[in-house]
Amino acid sequence: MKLTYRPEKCIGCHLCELACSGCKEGLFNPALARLQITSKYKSNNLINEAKLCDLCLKCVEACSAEAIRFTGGRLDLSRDDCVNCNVCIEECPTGVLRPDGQGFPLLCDGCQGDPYCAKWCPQGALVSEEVN
Amino acid sequence: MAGYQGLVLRVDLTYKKVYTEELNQKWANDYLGGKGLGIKYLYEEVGPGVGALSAENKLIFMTGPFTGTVVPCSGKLSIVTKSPATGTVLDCSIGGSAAVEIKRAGYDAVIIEGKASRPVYLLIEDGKVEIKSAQNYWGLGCHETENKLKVECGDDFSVLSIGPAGENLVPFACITSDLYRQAGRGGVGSVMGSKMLKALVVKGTGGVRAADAQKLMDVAHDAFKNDLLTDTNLWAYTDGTPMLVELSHTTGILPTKNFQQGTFDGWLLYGSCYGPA
Repeated sequence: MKLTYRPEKCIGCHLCELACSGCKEGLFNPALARLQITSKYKSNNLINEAKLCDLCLKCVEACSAEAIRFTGGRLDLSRDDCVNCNVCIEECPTGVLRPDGQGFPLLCDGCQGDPYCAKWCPQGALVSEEVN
Repeated sequence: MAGYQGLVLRVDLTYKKVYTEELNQKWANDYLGGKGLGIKYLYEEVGPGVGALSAENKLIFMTGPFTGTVVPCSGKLSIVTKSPATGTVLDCSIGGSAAVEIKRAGYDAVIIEGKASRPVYLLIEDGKVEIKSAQNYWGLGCHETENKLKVECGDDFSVLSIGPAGENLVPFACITSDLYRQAGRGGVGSVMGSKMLKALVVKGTGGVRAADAQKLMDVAHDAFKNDLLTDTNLWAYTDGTPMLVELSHTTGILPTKNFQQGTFDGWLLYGSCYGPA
C-alpha cells in the first residue's frame, strides 16, 4: 500500500499530521508526524504541499546498522539496533524523514496498510492505494 | 490536568516585564475552556471602576483544553477584556492559527497588562519572549503589518495585529490574524491600541497532551463523521453562508450604513435561497 496526495483537494487543515502524531506518539504535535503538509499563501491562493514517504527505500540502504528493514511491504525500525546516526534522515530524498527529538527517525510504517492519516482526511486528499 | 499546558504568560508593558505563572488549576476545572476561564481571570483581576482603555485593563488571550488537538472547532482563540464599546466584560473569538501557536509555544493564555510608552510588538517563540519596538509598523494596515512581520520574524509565525483603527482607539476596532480572520466584536483592537501593542507574533514547536489520546481521537473521529461531515451540515462549506442574510434582515440585525440600520431593502440582491429548508 502506498499513500497518494491530491493537492487540489487539500485544504491545509493539518488534521492528518495531528492524527498521525496522536496515534504514534500519544501527543498532538505536527512536528512529530510521519508526513508533512505545508500551507502558504501565494498571492490570493492557499498553496498546500505534502511530503510523504514514497517507499523509495533509500533509508534502508543508508542504514549501516541494519535497523531499518523493509518487510511485508512496510518499513520497520528496530530501536535496539538504531545508533542514532541520522544518516537515513540525511539520505531521505523527499525530506519527510525527521528526528523524533530522541535521535530516532520518525519512520512511516503505513499503519499496517490502513494509514490513520488517510482515515482522518476530511477531503479525500490523502488516499491509500495498492502498489502494482 | 492533561489538555492544559499549565502555564500562563504574563506581559507587563508598563515595566517591560515578562514572566510565567502556573495556571490556576481550580479555575481551569471550574471554568472550562477559553471563554469561561478568560472571564474568570478578568473578573478576579480587573475591578469594576477600571476604564476599558486605561492601563489597568487587561487583555487576555485564552486557549482551551482542546486547542491543538484533533477535536473539531477547538482552534479558536478567546480574547477577553473590558470593552470600550460597552464598558463591560467582553469575550471575542478569532479563528486562524494563533490559538494553536500559543498553545504549542507552551501557554494556555497570554495576559497583557499595563501600557507601553512607545509602540511595541510581542514576539513569542516557545520559551523565548521579547517586547520589541513596533515603530516601523505603527500606522500600517493589518495586511501590511502581518506581511512585514512575517518577513522580519519568519513565515511560520502567526500574527495577531491591529491597524489604524485600533491605534486610534476606535471603539469597534478589530484584531486581525492570518489576513482574513478578525476578532470583530466589542473593540478588542482598541484595547490593544491603548496599550500601544501593535502585534502579537507567535510560534510554538511543542505538542499538546491528552489524558488518553487514542480515546480522544476515537470520539473526535466519530464527531467528524456523524455530526460534522454530513449532508445536512456541509451546505455551509459548499455554498457559504449567504442564507444568513435573509435571517439577519428579518430579525433586524443586518448591519447597514455602519449599523445605523439593522435592515437593508436590497438584501435580496446578495442574499441566497440556498441552505437548509
